[in-house]
Amino acid sequence: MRRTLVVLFTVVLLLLQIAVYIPVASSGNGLTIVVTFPFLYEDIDELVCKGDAVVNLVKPGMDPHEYLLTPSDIDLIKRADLIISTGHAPFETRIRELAESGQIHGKLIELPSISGVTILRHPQTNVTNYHGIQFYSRNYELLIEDVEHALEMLRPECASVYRASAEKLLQDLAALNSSVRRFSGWLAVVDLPPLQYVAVWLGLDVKQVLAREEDVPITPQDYTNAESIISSAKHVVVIATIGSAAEDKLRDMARRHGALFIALPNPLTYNGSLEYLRTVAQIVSNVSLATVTQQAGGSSVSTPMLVGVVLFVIAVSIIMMYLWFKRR
Amino acid sequence: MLISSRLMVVLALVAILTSLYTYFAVPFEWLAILILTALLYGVLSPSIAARRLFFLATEAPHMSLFAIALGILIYRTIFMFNEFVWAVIVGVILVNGVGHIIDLGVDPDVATSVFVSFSAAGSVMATYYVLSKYSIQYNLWAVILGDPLLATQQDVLTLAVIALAVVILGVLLYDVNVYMGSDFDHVKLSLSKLWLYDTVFYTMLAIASVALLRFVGFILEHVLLSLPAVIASNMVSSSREAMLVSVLSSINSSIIGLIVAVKLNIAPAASIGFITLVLYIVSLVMRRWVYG
Repeated sequence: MRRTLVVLFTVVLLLLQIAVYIPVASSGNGLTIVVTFPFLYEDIDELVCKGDAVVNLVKPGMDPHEYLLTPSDIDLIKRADLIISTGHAPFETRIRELAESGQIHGKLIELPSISGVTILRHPQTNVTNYHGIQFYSRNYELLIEDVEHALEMLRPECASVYRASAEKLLQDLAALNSSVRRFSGWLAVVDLPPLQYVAVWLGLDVKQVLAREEDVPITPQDYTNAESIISSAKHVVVIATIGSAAEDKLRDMARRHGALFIALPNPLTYNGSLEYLRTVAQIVSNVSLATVTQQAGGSSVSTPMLVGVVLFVIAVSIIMMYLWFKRR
Repeated sequence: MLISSRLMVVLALVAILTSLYTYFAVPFEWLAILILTALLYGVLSPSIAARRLFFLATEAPHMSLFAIALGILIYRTIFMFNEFVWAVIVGVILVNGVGHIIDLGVDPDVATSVFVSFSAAGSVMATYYVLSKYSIQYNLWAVILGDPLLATQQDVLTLAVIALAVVILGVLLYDVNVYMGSDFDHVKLSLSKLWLYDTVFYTMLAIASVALLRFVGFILEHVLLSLPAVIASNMVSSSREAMLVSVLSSINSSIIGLIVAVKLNIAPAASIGFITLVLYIVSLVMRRWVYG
């Protein structure tokens, strides 16, 4: 019995090892193109020719900053003809290392390294912001052009298809650029780094990015700076990511100071950058400036009421402890 | 008794003065969240120490990730109540489960190991489904890390209700918990419904872990669930004084930590953790000094 169990255990272990190395994607006769971030997938998929396969390593909704490459990912990357990366997440750094050590035969395109790309700096720390670079429309154009050239080189017989697809994407972007609502002369406070690029695309002057980096807690000074900008500027937009830790707080702050508040979806839940920009344009077009003044002072809980509640809890606690202390 | 009641008066005075200073220096929500959290954990911590349940208390915040992910999953499936309510229900079931298994005689280390393995594996699975299958906008990491600076007025009200309930129940049940920790057999013979006391205690622990995670994060939870009682045990010898010193040291470290965070512009979770650690070292020195 014991021997059977040992054999069974060994077989299961071997099967698990083998399962890990089973190929997960096949590109047929065409190219295998790997994109690292989910919001690059649809844009690149729009470009490709028949037989090409686009694979996104990280699925929408997952945080790529926490993603770890699996053995099947490494296998896929090694077989890929083209890899498109935003070049800043830890697993993307690992891909770069693989490319530099010659373990990847395909071409690696890193968005920040594309010539002419505008990389913004965090307003407080002055550190380069690598999050969401392609949400600035000129950067998006450069990315599409660069990928299209790479695809032409890799599969010349499909050059006309790649060119036509890229032209269509860029035309769609141009149409969006001409129709999107701009906030020229307005200041912005945003909660997360990718929204800095989105805000700049909307014509806003970003004065504060509340979080210094993804998943880094905010500091007291970040908070007071944001409040100071929102309370003192005449035309200011507060933009938060739906579901983020700061969304409720920024909404509250904007309401108290009568600032315009816009909640945008998390870009990581989107399959395409152009699709995301379209959603942003739609949300922004529906925002009414008339609601700004209505928002002021609309809080359901006042600070004196809050102070009263907290003092009540403290008083009850003291009385409880005093009675219990004296009872014994 | 190692120190007199004068120390408690000093601790109370420092707490009042620093609270007043902070009230005028920072947004009230920050002060309110930290005072209520410190009060709640200050009351709960001596009971955890008395029951020798530090292993369970420090594991509870880890389990909360599973509870929150599963809470989201349940809500997205049946659309009843909200994610928060389901997370608390899952947390209460999990902590009660492991607590009662230990009460039945299972070795605490074994029960905790199984519990940790189950909740860790469950977290990965539930998080994967939450983030990929439903593709919804939840920043689970932000929920787990928490941030008292981002607390809203509504959060303060929610926390006030939880703190009030935990303080009242925690004080009322404290004696039972102390006796259970020191002479379990005697308590077993004296109380007919021991399981009920256990259930209330485990439920308080679960609510304090899951519900507060969003406000203060698991780093502060770890610190404030365990250290205040240890500080108190270094300074006083009776259980009733331990409760008061635990509450006062918890409140002081939270408020002083907040002031340090503002002055140095760092995250409050870090400064409060360090201040609590400093208080522990001071209490240790005091204990050595008194005993020689």
